[in-house]
Amino acid sequence: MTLVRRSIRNLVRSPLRTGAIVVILAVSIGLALIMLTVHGATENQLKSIGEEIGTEITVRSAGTFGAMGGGEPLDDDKVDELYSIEHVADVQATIQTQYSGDSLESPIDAGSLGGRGMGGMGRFPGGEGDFEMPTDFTMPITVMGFDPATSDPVLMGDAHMEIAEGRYFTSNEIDADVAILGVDLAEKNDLEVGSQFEIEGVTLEVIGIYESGQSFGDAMLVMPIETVQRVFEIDGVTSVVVIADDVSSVNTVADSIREIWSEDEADVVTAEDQYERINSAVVSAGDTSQMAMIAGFIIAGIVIVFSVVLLMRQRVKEIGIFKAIGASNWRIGLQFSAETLVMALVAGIIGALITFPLAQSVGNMLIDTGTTAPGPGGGGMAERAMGFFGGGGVTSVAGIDIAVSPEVFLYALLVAAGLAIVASMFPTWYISRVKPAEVLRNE
Amino acid sequence: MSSDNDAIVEAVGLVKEFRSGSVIVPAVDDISIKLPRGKMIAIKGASGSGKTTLLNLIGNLDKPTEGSLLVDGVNVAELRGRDEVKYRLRKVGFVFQSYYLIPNMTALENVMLPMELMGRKTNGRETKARKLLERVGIDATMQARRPTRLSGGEQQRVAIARALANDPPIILGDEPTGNLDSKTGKRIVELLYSLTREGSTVLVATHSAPVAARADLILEMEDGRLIGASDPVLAEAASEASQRDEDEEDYETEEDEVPVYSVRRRRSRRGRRR
Repeated sequence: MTLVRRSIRNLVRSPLRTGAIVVILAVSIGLALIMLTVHGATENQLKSIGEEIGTEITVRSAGTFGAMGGGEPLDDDKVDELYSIEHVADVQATIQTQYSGDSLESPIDAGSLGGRGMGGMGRFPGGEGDFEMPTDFTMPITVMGFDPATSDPVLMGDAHMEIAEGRYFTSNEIDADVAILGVDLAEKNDLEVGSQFEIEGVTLEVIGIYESGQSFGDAMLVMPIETVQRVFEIDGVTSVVVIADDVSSVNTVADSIREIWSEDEADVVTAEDQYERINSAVVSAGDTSQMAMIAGFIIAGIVIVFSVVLLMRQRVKEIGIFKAIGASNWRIGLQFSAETLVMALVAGIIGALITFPLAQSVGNMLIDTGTTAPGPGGGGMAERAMGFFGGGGVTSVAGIDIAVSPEVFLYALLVAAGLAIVASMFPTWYISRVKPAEVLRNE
Repeated sequence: MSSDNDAIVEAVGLVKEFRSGSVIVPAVDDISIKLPRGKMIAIKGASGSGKTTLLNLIGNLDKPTEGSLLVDGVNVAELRGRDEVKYRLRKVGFVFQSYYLIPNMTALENVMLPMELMGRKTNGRETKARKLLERVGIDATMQARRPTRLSGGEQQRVAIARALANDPPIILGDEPTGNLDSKTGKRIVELLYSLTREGSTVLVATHSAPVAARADLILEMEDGRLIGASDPVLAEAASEASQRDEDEEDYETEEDEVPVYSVRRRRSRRGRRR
C-alpha cells in the first residue's frame, strides 16, 4: 500500500508531465480498444453472414443472366458426376426457361416495368425520348423445373414456395405432366388445383398453387425438372446447387466441380466467394481495424517506454540516493514499476471510457454504410444475396452495430498491465547500471 | 574476516583510479590506515584530494581498484549483490553535503525509509524515526514537512537522523556543513560529535578547519594520498603500513593549531598515464 501511495504521490509531483503521458497513453490504448471492438464486431458479422450463406456452391451455365436465363445448359451426365465428388451432401439441379406462348398469360403488366431499368427491359431515360414498351408486348412466363426430391426449392432471391393449395411433386413425378402455379399466374389464367392447360402441345394438370410473397415469384410456372426438359426440348439444366457437408470442404468441392466444367461452360460460385464479395467492405474494415489496433498497441508501448526512460533519467539522483541508503535494485525497480503500472492503469481506464462513445462512430467511418459490392449475376444462391436481376445488381452492405461490452475494461486492464510489464524491463536494466557514487558526484 | 578489535576501518594499499579518456587518475592512491572505533575523525584536504572517494569506498558506493578494505570486520571490496545492499543498510549511514533527502517524502518518511528497506514493521519504524528526529531537534510539525519546506540546517538534521535509522556503527559525512552557515554548521558538527559518545564512529570529509578542529583525529589528504594525521600513533601506524623501510617523522602546525604528523610514504606510484 505504501508503494502504491508513494507511486501516486511521485506521479502527482509533476502533474503536467504525468498528465501529458497519461493522455497520450489513454488515446493510444483507447484507439487500440476501439479497433479491438470494431474488429470483433466485423468478425462476428462475417461469421454470421458465413453461417447464413452456408455450404452451398452454385453452378450456372456460363452466360446466364439472372432470371432471364441464357447460356448453354449444363450437361445432365456431368450433373450426375457431382454425386460422386467427396464431401458432397446434396445436389439440387434446377432448370429455368421462358414461355412466351398464348396458352398462359403473365400476371405482370409489361408497362409497369417502365423506368425500372431491368436488364434491357422497360424505359430508359435520355436521348430524344424515353424508350416505350410496344403495346402488344406481353411478359414471358418464367418456367422453373425442380427435382421432386428438392425439399425446399428456391424460386429467386430468397423467395421460397409456400404451397397454398394442393401439393408439391412426389418422387415418382419427375417426368409427369403436372405443374404448380404461382398464385398470381393461376388467378390471371383462371386456373385452380385440378385444372388442365396446354403448353407446347403437352397437357399439364395443376396439382398445386403456391405463394412466394413476391410478385415475380408468384408469376412463375413450376414443373418437374424432366418435364421441363421434355416439353421445352432442353438438354441439360441451367443451374445446380451443390451442398458441401462442411464449410471447410466448400473450396475442395468447388475445385472438383471446376474440373468437371471449364470456365467457358459454367460459373462455379462458392459461398465463400459470395461471402467475400458481399462483405468486402466489412472485411476491409476488419483488416483496417486490426492494423489500427496493432498500431495503437505499438504507439502505447512506445509512449510508455519513452515515459519511463524520461522518468528514470530525470530521477537518476533519486535512484542514487536510494542505493546509497541501502535500497536494492529490485526494490527501486519495484517503485518505478508501480508508478508505471499506476500510470498505465489510469490511462487504460480512460482509454476504455472513450471506447464507449467512439467505437460506433469509428466503426461507421471504417465501414461506409453506402458501400456497394458488385453482383455476380445469375440466379440460384447468388440471387438470394444479390437480387433477382443480379447481372448488374448491386447490394448495400449494411452498417455493423458495434456494441461495446463492459469487458473492454478487462481488456484495458490487461493491456495496461502488459504495457507496464514491458516498460518495466527498462528500469530493471537501468537501475542496475546506476552507480550511486557517480550520480551523486555529478550533482 | 577478522580485524583489529579497536579499528573499525582497516585499509591496506587502498587504491581507486578513475579513467578519463586515455588518462588514469588515481583518486585514492595507496592508502593504508587503521581508524579507531567510537571517534570522530575528520579527513581534511582540498577539493580533489580524494576525501569523498575514500568515504565512498568505505561506504561501498564505489569499489577499490586495488588493496583491501575492512569495515567493522567486513571486506568491502568483495561485497556483491545482496551483501552489498545489506552492508549499506546495516553498517554505514551517509550524510551528504547536499542532504539528498527524497523530495517527495516528509522528514518523517525520509527517516523511516532505511528502516522500511530493512523490513522493519511500520509502527516500530515510525516510533523510532520520531525519536531520532526529536533527538536531532526536528519537532513534530517539521517532521510532517517535505524537505523543500525545511531550512538547510533542518534538512541536514533530518539526513543525520536518517543515517542513524538502522543504528550503523559508522556514520560517513561528506562535507556535512558545506552548504550551511557557520552557526548552523557548528550545531551540526556538535550533533555529529555527540554520536561518538554513544559508540558510533563518525568519519567526516571536510575542508573546513573548525569542523576538523572538533574531531578527535584528523587525517590529511592530498592528491589521493594520506599525507598526515593528527595523532602520532595513527600517523606511525599509517607509515608502518605503507612504508616499512623508511623512518622519518615530521611535525607540522596548521592554522587551526591541531598538530598533524606527516605520513611517510612507501614509494611513489608509477606514472599512470597509459
